[in-house]
Amino acid sequence: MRGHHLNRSITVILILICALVVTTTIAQAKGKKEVTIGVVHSLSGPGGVFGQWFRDGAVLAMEEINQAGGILGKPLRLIFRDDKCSPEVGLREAKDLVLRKNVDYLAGTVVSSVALAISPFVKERKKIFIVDTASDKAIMEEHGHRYIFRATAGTRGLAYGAAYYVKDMPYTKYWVMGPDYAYGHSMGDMFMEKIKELKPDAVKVGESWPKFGTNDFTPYISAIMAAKPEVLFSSIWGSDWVAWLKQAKPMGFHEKILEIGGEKGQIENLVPGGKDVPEGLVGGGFFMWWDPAMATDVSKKFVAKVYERTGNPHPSTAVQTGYLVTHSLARAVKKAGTTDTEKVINALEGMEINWMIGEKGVPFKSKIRSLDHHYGSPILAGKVKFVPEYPFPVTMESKLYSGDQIMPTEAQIKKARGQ
Amino acid sequence: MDVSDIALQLLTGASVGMVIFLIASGLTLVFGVLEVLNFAHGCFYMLSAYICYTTVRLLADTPGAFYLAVIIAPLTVALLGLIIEYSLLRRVYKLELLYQLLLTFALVYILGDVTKMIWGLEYRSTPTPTALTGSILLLGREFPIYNLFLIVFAAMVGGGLWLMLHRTTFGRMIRGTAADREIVSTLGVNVPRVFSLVFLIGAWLAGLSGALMAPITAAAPGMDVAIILDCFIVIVIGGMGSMGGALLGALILGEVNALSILFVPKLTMIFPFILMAIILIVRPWGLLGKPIR
Repeated sequence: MRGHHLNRSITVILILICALVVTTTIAQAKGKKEVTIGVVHSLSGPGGVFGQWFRDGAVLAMEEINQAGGILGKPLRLIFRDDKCSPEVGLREAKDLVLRKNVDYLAGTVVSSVALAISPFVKERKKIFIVDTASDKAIMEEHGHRYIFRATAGTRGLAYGAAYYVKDMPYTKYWVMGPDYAYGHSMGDMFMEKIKELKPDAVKVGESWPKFGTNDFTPYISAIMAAKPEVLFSSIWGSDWVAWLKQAKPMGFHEKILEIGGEKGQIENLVPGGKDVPEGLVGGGFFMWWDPAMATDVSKKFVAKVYERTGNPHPSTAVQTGYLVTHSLARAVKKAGTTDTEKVINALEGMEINWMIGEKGVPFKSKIRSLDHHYGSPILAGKVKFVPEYPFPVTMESKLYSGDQIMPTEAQIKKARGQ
Repeated sequence: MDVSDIALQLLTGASVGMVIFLIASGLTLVFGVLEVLNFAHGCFYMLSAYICYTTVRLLADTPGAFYLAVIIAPLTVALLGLIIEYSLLRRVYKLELLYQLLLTFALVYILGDVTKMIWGLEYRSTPTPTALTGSILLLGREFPIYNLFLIVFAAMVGGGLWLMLHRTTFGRMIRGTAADREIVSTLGVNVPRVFSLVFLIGAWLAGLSGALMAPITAAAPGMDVAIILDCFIVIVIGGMGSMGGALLGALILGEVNALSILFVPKLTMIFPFILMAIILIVRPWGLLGKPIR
């Protein structure tokens, strides 16, 4: 009798499984009624703020797109997943979004190692993946391919921007510091490569590689000060940088050494840094809407809209990038006339991108490169100042670098890919 | 580079090293007595840093706001620790060690999310108390007063802990429970209560470290995971269950780190793990630990 019941249970379970498989396959076989973008981003952990901001911008764009009738008559839907700053989790979420949720396109991430983990999967599955905050140049250079795009600049561009800004300053002794993972090393290498090219007498006096998540920088500060460099190029970010600033202040670090950083001109670094950010620090970034040298009517309108929609008066780059990535995908699909991946890629290549910031109030324009799928984002760099309009330090007198100045050449890409 | 540079470097290695000693001693105490490795120990550290931030903000104009926060924040997480021990951990003592570990591991996720829900994802910066800002001239260079404060304060707390463990009846009960809980309970010691109090002390030590670190770091998501790794390395080197081992381990870790930054910067990240590997091979019970029965 027991065996009979067991057989029946197994049969029921098997029938249920078959029903599940059949219904989901039918659902997928029927034409999709909406266009979906899957976003794998950090919504928790040390990179969590970025994912949250990206989501704010992306949702804003999605609402605008849907209010205007959607994409090719279909509504746009965004599905957000938290990669918890982990490559394993990020890849798992990307797989789920593509294989089970059947998203049309993917976007993400904050942490470079997550983007690098997802990249081979999207290449194999032939899904478009637009990378934003994750900036290791290896994502687009060494490991770039047809299905991956970058909406910001990579470590090459960020480091180059810092080098260009300081090249006319009378310094030759540089110290390189960064978190001990691919991003940090990439930034450091790219900076020294460029500064040596611009100033042949530039010397690397030493280097420091604190692990990401270091909370005690005092031994680093004393080691660097003992060697007496003139400039510190640092790619420390997040709460680590806040700790660094707080600990460097009583040791008089910034009275003796100029600190420069590829991303120190970003709000996510300047706001938490607060009063501990030294004036004169050179910081790079993408979206310096507060600097009269870079603001435009477009940036002013966007900042106002973000404030109205989210209550955040000081949007960071990631809000703008989320907005831009979403709109650019929508435009590309409309241009292609179909959601088919290959046709959308063709539409993206060469497509014009209007950035929100620019020199003399004119928004900067670029075209998405067919060579390596960089959106052509410009890099800004400026000097930190405290001004009465903002409760946090801001970069001012910023300069803009773009195009060939900051993006890899065809020869560099071929070399990186071992071709 | 000269001798004074190296001496100063060693001093920097000791300052946060002493704070690591405090939090590691909490972890090792809980392990020694309850035989539970509390993965969520770093969460007490993190929560206390956030509570310290909020307390200082709320008491903004009160003189001594920070010092009040250093009292309030660790006590709050200690209370949380007590509640966790009494309501959750107690239920899994009679089960295999694995279940206890799973429980504390689950708490890491839960407490991490609770922190995110209350304080969000942005970094929270606590200002340094005015009396402890600035630096003094030491060996020709400026050394932060706050770091000196950390060394002195942590040493005092460490001394107080030693006195408690070795000169009070309660301390004797703790040491006895750590040595052999069955015999000690036949002698009339209320072992479950000792467990609860030890867990409370452990959480308090983690909370104290978090509050002390708040002015020189930023309270941020992920800081619980970052600190627990350092704690594990320290107690493996020093010996699990040994307070003296926690001190020795923390100082060794701090100094090796400081010297590697000066002399072999490319390898800084791996030195703690090399140390741990050497200990595990040569003396797996740690420098001051006892060979495992």
